[in-house]
Amino acid sequence: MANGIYIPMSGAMAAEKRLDVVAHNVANANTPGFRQQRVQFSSFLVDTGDGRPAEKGFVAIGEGRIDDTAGAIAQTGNPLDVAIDGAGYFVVQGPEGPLLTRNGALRMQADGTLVDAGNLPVLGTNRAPIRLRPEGGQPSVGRDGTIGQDGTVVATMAVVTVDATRLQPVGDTHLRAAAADMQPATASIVGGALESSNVNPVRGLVELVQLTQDFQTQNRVMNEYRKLDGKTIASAR
Amino acid sequence: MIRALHTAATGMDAQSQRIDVIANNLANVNTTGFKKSRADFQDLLYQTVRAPGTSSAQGVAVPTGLQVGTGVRTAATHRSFSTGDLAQTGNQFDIAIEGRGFFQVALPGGEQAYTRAGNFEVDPQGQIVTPDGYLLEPSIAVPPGATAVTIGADGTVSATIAGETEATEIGQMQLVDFVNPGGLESIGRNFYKATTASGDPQIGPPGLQGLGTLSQGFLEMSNVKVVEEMINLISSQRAYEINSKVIQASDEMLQTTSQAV
Repeated sequence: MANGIYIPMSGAMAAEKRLDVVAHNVANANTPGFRQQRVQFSSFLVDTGDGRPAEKGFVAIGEGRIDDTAGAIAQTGNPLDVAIDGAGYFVVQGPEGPLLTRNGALRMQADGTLVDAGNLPVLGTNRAPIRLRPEGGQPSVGRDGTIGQDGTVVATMAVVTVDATRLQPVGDTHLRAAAADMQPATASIVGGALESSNVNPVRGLVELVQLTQDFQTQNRVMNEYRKLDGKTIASAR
Repeated sequence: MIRALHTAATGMDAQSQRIDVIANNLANVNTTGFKKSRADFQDLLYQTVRAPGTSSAQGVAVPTGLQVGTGVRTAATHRSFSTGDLAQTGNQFDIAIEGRGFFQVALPGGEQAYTRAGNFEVDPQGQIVTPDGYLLEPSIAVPPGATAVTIGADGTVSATIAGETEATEIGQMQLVDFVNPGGLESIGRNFYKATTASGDPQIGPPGLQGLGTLSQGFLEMSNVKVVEEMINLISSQRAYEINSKVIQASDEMLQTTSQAV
C-alpha cells in the first residue's frame, strides 16, 4: 500500500474546512459588525525514522484568525446606531463575563438599560451597565462615546482594543477575550451609522473557486495512488 | 462538507428574509406615517475544531485554535422611528407630529393603539376619528356649525362657530411616548401596540416632556428612502447569489468524492 495517499487526503480535508469557513463568512456578508475568519494550515514534518531528513507531509488542521480589518460604515439615521471609526470593540455584559462586539445597533429597554442587538447590557467605562432615564427623552451619542440625555452626559461607553489573535467568536456577533487582553482605548464613535460586515464577497468567491480546485487536485492525486496500488496488486499476480 | 451546505442555506434564508423586509418598506413608500424596518443579522454558534491553547504538531501551544461558524440568523427586525418628510395638504384635520410621540387611538375592542399617521376625519357625531373610524383619545368633539377648526402646536383645538367672532377651545390633543419605540408591536393599518419591551405609554401635551409639536395641515410621509432600499436590495440579492455558489461548490466537492469511490 502506498501510504502517501494520506497526504492528499489531509489536503482534501483541509479544503473542506476552508469551505466551512468561507460558507460562514459569506453567510454573514450582511451581518453588521461581523468579523470574517481566516484559516491558516500548517504542514506536519514527517520523520520516517530511517535516517533521512524529515520531509514535509500532511496538512494539519490550522488555526482560525479573526480578520480585524474594518467594514464599511453605512449611514442608518437611527440615533442609537453607533459605529466605531478605527480599532476597538464595545464591551457588553455577557452571561459569563464581558463580551466584545462591533455591532452598534443599540436600543434602550423599558427600564432604561442600554442593550446591544443581542439584548446584552452595554458597559460604560466604569464596567457597569449603562442605564439611562426612561423618561429622559431621546439619547444622543457623542464622538467620544459619551451618551447624553437632555444635554447632560449620563455615561461613556467603554471601548477596548484587543489583539486579533486573542479574540474568540461566540456567535450573536459577540467575541470573547480574556480581561487581561482588553486595553481601554479612546475611539471615535460615529452616531447614526452601523459598521457593515468586513466580508468581501469577491474574495469569498475567489476562495471558493480556489478551494474547489484544490479539493479536486487532491482527489486526482488520491486516484493516482489508487492506480499505483492497483498496479502493485496486478504485478504480484 | 455537509456543514457548509447548511451554513450557506442559513445565509440564503437570512437574505430572503431581508428582501421580504425591503419589499414591505418599498410597498409602503407612500404610506402616511409609515416607519421602515430593517432585518438585523447575527452570526450563529461556533464549533470548536481545535481549542485555543492545545499543542500543535510541533509541540507548541497554538494561541488561537480553530472555530468554525455555522452561519447567520435574523435576530430581529428593527423599526426606525426617524421622522419622515412633512407634506403640506391644507386639510384642517391632517396633523403631523414634529418630533417624538404617537397619537393614541381607541380600538373597537377597547384596547389602545398608537399611530404616527395624522390623517384624521370627523365622524357623523362630530368626533375626530382615524380613516378607519377609530376614536382619537382623549376624544374631541367638533361642535355642530363649526366653520373652522384650529389645532395649535401645543395641541389646543379651537373651533370657530358660525356667527361668532371668537374661537372657542374645544379640547386638548395629547401625545404618547415610549421609552423604546422599537419595542412596539406593529398590528398593521399604521397602528402599533404597547408591549413590555416598549415600556408603558407616557401621555403628555405636545411640546413638553420631550414630545414633538403638532403641525396642522401637514402629513408625515413614510420615512422609507427608495435609494437606500434599492442599495439594500442589490446587496441582499448579490449575497444570496454568492451563498448559492457556496452550495454549488459544496455539491461539486461531494460529487468529486462520490465519484472517487
